[in-house]
Amino acid sequence: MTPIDNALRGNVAGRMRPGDSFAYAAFGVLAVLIAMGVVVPLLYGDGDVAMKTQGLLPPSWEHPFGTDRYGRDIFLRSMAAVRIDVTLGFAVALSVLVFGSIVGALSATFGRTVDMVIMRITDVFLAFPAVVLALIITASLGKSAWFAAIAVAIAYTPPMVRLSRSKALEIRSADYVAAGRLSGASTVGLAFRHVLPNAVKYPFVQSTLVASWAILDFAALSFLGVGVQPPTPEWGSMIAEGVGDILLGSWWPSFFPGSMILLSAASFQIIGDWLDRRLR
Amino acid sequence: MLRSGLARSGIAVVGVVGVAVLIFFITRLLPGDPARVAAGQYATDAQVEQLRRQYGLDQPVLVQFGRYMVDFFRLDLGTSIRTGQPVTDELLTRLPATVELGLLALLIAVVLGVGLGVLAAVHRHRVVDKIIQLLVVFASAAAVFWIALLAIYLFVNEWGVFTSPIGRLPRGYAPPDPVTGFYVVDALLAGDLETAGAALRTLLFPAMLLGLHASPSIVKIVRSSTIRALESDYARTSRSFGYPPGSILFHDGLRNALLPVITNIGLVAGFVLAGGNVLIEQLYAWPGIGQYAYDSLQENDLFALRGYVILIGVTYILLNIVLELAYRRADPRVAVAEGR
Amino acid sequence: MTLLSVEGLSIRTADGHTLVRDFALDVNPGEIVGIVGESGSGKTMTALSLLGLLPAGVSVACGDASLSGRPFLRDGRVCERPNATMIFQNPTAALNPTMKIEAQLIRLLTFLGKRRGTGRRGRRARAEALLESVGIHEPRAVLRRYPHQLSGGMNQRVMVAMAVAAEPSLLIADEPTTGLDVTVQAQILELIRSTVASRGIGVLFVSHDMGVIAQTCRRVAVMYHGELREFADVDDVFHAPRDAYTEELLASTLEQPSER
Repeated sequence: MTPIDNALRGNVAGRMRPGDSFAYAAFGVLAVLIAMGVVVPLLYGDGDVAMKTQGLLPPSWEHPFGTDRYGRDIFLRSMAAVRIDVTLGFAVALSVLVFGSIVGALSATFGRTVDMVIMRITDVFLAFPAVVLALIITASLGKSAWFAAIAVAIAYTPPMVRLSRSKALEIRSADYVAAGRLSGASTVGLAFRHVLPNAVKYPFVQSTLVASWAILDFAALSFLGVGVQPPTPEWGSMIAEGVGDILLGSWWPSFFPGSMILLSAASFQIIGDWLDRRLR
Repeated sequence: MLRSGLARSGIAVVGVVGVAVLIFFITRLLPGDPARVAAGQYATDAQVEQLRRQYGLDQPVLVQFGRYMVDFFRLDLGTSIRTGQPVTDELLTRLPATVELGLLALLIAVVLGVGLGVLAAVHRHRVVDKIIQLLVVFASAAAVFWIALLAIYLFVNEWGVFTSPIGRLPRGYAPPDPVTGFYVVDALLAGDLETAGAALRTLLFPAMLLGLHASPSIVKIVRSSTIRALESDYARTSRSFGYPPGSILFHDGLRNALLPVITNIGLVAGFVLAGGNVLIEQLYAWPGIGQYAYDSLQENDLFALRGYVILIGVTYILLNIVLELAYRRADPRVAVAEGR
Repeated sequence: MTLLSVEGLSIRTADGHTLVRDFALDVNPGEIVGIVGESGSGKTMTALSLLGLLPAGVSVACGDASLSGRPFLRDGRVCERPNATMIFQNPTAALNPTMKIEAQLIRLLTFLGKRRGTGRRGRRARAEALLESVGIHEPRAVLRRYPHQLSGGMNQRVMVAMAVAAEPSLLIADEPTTGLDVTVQAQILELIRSTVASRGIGVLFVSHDMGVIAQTCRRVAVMYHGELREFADVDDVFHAPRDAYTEELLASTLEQPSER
């Protein structure tokens, strides 16, 4: 039999166990990043020692990520930025999870009119890519890191509302709830024991993905100049500061902050995929 | 059929109006002050007040809303603070550049997404699949502006594969006579192969990045739907007859797997047109609506930015309606279920 | 001469569970042999394994099988394609939902034509004739339809037509009537019986339903938890079951005679 034939048959011989190793690596990367983000700035500051060192030094033992045009250490700045970017990922994911689940559950519970109104509103939100929505919201509120964070959270709430609503509806009609009712369990008790855990599972998985997207979009807003303002260290705005340098041959001021985004966003996504498989 | 068509256009109208209302709400009712934003950080109160009067921002909100909606239905998206020109006109002049870039990017995303998705499905749970899945994660976890920046550094500065990104044509070329607004097509129509080639090379670079950026969601959906199709009862029937693997992959796998892709393309297209586009167009000095949005943002021109966002939302809604019709044609099951 | 003979067949999952242990059976030409057992007894896996159709994660661990004297399974490895075809439970899902019946038949006839070197001409007429031969009165109308536009019984007829078109010496039928109406069920069973009579092929008939087996088969293999409990004439099994489980299965069937 040809190899492709085996592949089409889904032959057992060549199968790998679903890789948990990726997930462990992702947890490891995230833990190290957070630890460094907490410890490094405490020990060495946030790299904001302008003019002390020469500008645009390439990566070396002394400056692992090199220095930027103002002579600031890019490694220290990148680590200091963990505090903003990764925290933001968690904060947005959490608020989207809480707020989205509540609105979704309300929509599923409170009759048709409320449900329809909420669904039509989310429809309209979903007509925009999240980053565009976040952009117009930040631009309207004013250029600041806080507004950008709020805008990103608003942009990712409607999909969460839809997800938790559909899960709540699914579960409300599930057999065991009916069975519980018949056997005389109280509605509140039922809601807490069965409906809530199941309704929260999928939104929870989704929220790890939201963390990843939020980091990316927040960095994009800062890159566009409406999020974190320089000189505060943040990956997106650090990349923006390096644009002029990279085109003149100094790749490191933009490269390293971008790879931090890649590492943290990828970790959240891998963890999300893993949770998705585990919780099913 | 007619009734469902009417219902569908009803939903479309509601959606389009919803987009307009939502954007008004965001730009006018959130606690920001467009006049203050437009006037800039260092404007005096008098200057702000003058702007406010000039753009009718001193009127009651309801009056402003009424005017805004009337203008919206007359396809008038207001006047740019920065240039003093009608936003609708400015967007329309720049639209062909964005659409040309977006279409090629979409093509690249679909080819890449379907190719890798099918490859992963055929080798599911094995090394090739794992590698593709890892690529997907990294492609969707990399900031598009960062990748674009690195690509410019490598491909232009270091290796010289592409000319430096300064718009739709390299230095020294004149734009072709506008017919469609797509430079490659227009140059071909004019019989100018050299310009067409140069325009295509210039276009290819940002389109590749945008396509790469948009492909992960297609890979994911094609992979899972192809696996489902290959493990289906009908694929098993085909195997029971001993059909060759290629035939099973094509007739049973792809044919059934590509249906969900059609609906997904709507999302991807919105993404290509808007999501990564502001960033890519700005980095490549591509004179489309994304760059317009970027410039408006830098100059605090909220009205122009608002026009851009409305255009994106409306396009997305209309696009999805077209795609839903296409899906209906492609999947006999849907057509029958509703075509009584 | 025996048509199909299976010996020592064992089927395992990738994580080490044994689904079928040391199964053996034989089918004579023109004979319908049943495999009966409750769901999870391994009867469907046995049927699928003969054509190499086991799902991902399940494989033949050991066993030998031959068809018309030609071995096709040696020590658990497929060494050639047996000249056998199969019809399945849930016929509507077993047909490609995006292709009209005509396209599916033409696809099969083209494939068979290539294999036999008979060329492509007259495929459309052959498709019509095939549908007529399985008792479809308006073959043209059926050819124009998609599977989801036809009834389950009609789709199963189409499946039988396709299975017969390949001119197999053995037909494997895996719960071919489960889920169909009682009258349609009888028609499909009659179709299988008449096909056997007119073509002299052997049939391996898998079902959970003792009643259906009794109507259809001469001999029957009784499976329980992956093991062959009994393989004997249907009459003997019915009237003098040698195995305790067979007795139980019979009792439960007689209580609710072929309701499904």
